[in-house]
Amino acid sequence: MSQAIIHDQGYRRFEGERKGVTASMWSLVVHAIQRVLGLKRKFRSKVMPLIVFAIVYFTAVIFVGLAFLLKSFEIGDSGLTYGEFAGITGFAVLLFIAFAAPEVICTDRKSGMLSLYLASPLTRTSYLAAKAFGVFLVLLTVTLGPQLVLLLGYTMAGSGPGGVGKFIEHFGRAVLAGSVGAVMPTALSIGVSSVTPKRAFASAGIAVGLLASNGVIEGLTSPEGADADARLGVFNLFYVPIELAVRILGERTDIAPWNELATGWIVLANVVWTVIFGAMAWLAYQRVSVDR
Amino acid sequence: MTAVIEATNVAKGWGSTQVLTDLTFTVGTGLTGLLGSNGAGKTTLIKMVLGLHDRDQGNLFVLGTDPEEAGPELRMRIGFAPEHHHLPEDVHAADLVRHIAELHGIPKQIATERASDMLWEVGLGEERFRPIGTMSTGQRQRVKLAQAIAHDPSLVVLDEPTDGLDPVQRDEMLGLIRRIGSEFGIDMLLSSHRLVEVEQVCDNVVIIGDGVVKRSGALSDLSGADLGYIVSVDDKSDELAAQLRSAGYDVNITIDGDVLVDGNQAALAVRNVVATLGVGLRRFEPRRVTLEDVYLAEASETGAA
Repeated sequence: MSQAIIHDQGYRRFEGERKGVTASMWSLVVHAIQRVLGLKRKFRSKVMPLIVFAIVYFTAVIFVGLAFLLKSFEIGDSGLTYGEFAGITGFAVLLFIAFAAPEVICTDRKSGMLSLYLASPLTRTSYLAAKAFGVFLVLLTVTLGPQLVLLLGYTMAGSGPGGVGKFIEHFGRAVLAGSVGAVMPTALSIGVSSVTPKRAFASAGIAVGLLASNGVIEGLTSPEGADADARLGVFNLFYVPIELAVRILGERTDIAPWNELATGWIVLANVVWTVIFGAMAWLAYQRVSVDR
Repeated sequence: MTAVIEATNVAKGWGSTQVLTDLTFTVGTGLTGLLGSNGAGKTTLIKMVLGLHDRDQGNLFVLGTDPEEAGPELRMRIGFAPEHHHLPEDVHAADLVRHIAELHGIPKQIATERASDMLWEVGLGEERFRPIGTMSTGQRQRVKLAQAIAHDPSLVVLDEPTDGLDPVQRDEMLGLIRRIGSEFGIDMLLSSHRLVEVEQVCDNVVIIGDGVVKRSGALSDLSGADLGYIVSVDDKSDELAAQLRSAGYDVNITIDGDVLVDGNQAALAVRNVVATLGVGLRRFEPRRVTLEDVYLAEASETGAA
């Protein structure tokens, strides 16, 4: 006997137990991730994340392939080190930073979603925290994911850390480097995005700000004979998180000012910039109008 | 009366501007209209009801809790449709409604089902997978209504829900609101500056102006009182009016030629005069106080003060 089911449409009371505010925040985190990756939207919304993923993962796969194919492959010699990989994919990560937060922050203000969010169990602070965590998780896909691909690939090709203990240690360093390396860029992109409802302005502001700080500080500190204080490097917003990741991976960028700058300054710079941009976002959202 | 919203001496100002000076009212169950001219403080009051603005003084209880203390938990049980029509252009209506339902604590699977059901309820069943950017203003208003009720709230707050709609769409939206309020058993606060809309769908009304509550209560109590009669005859309106005046009644003639007779005891006199004049009687009915009369009376009092 077949079992017929009648699906009753129409309004029904919800008799179950409601999830709490934490679930509401998690729902927003998932929504932010979907938004950045262009999921459930037209293909054109997926183009930017696909380009960035292609750059970083393709680069990792190429060097893993070389490790498999070349007998003379040696990390640090013919092969890319983990720290060098973090450095050369930095511009792709920058592209993602400039795109991700404006997509999830500015859009809400322009589209009027912010007023719906703040009429939900979310507060201004929990809204911002959920959005920031969503951006952070997305950034992990480009700061951590490719590092793990590289580690696993090198290991399978016989060029990875020798022994289980060394592998676990490097795995831990890669996770920490990828995670820590995404914190300051998340704060920066959220902070800048919080001051304007215009996505293009925010993206341009983030990209230009990062590139300008990199260019100016490198111009002052890197040239042969430049006698500028190496501590100026802490104002290089683009490279400060990368250098921290490089050092967590057990390496050090071998050009000025980084080769002269103590790790403590790098850590301090990341913490201070994270706090500054986080506070900037928080303050902006305490004042932002929710009429739209 | 079970109080859904209870305000006592609530005040709120922005800098040197005092928007609400002393609000005291009680909103009971059913549909309540929040009336006031633009800038009267309706939106400020709504934001306080949602716990988004802190009041400067007084007490406010919504669904039995103080919004300032129980903001997130309270908002879990409130549905809100803002005044603006701006919604994410590239998001499907069903995804938006499901997302808002999830934010209000509904598990994902149930939120998906309810989003679909609510869009059917508001007449967008066939359109639920369309991007909102391709929808008309009327359809967007319906999406806003669907997202406000999808999580089964105890109270729904609608801010100018018919803004931007043509007369046909407005009637449909008001019918929908009435049905949700009466059939679904959800208490609703409808903010509007259109008296006719409130009169059409609401059970209760709160009129605010100059930072205070001008009138509040059941619509039937406020607007039902008899004012006398409206009489329309096919000829000799002037003579009818003159004879009724000479009989001691206060009489006015409208530009349409209708004769307005004050006094609840005038029916017999009208009948006798019409019979004496031998004119055809087109219309003869009690004249009741409308919400517009109440509102205009409050406005003129304010102006006189």
